[in-house]
Amino acid sequence: MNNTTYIILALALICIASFLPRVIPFLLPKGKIKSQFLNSFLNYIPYSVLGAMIFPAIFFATSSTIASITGAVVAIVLALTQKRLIVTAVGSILATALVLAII
Amino acid sequence: MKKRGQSDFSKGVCNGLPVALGYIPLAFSFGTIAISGGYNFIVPTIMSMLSFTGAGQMAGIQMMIQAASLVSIFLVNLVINARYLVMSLSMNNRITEKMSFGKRMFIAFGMTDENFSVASLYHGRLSFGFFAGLMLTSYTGWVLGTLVGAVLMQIMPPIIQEALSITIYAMFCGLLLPSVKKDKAVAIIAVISVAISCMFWFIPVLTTLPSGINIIVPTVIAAAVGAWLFPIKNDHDETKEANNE
Repeated sequence: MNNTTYIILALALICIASFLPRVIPFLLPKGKIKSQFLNSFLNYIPYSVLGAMIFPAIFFATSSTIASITGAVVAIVLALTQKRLIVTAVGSILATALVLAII
Repeated sequence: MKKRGQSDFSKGVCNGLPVALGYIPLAFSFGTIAISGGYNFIVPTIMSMLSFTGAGQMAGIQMMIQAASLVSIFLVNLVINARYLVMSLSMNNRITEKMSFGKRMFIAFGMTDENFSVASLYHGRLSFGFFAGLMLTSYTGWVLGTLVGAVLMQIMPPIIQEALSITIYAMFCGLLLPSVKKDKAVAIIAVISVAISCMFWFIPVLTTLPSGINIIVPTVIAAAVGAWLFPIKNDHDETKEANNE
């Protein structure tokens, strides 16, 4: 197989593999889900997925664990004390950069 | 009607801006990895345009650099992206508005971890306009970030570039923690999910599993335990849907 064909096929397969799991649930017949368990389960998904995505990955986001932990602590404090996402993000970036610069 | 759609769109754009900001460093490093692996800037940019997924693309480009078989590239990506099944299922359940097939496919394509989190915790109306604003904004950040990362490589000071890797997690904290503070059930679910996620990070046997598993397993277990311990009695989405019909 020549290199260009390989690249094109690989790009196509990666595209299909990322689109398929997102599309299938939207093709299901839309109707009220009767099961209280399933409804609650689907409602709680955003929170549980966020927990799994943040921790412990946030502590290893940069090459310096100390800088990452500092950024994480600032992000947690800002997230709990004010409402704007952008403030939380920028505050955490600045704190992380500061520690990276000091070490 | 049209005016309302426009304002929903701009609300979507506002919600999409922090997501786009968070995507830039990720996309940037993805572009950089592709270039250092010997590809020109077109390959990573096209991949970002077609796939719109962080972990899957990272694994994909790494396997391409190692000339892995096409079947293994496909299977690894399916496993990494399996978490989207759960997210799309949850989102499909939340969208009460009737939408055309094309619009649903648009929303499905834009269903990234971040867009899903922002949309499912959004308090306003989940209209197509909102999704369009949110997803087009974050998609632009993703594709442009890849292009710029690939073309310019490392023009940013390394410290800033590295510090930017915290962005996406800080944004996730901003989404999750206010709900944790307000709702005991959410707090317990988050703690369970984090505890299981840590196991996948620190227990040697589990760390060898393909990435994606470490997200999907804690997500499903914690949400299931939550649904079992704290069933939600009167779902207001249901009443909304009944009014629509």
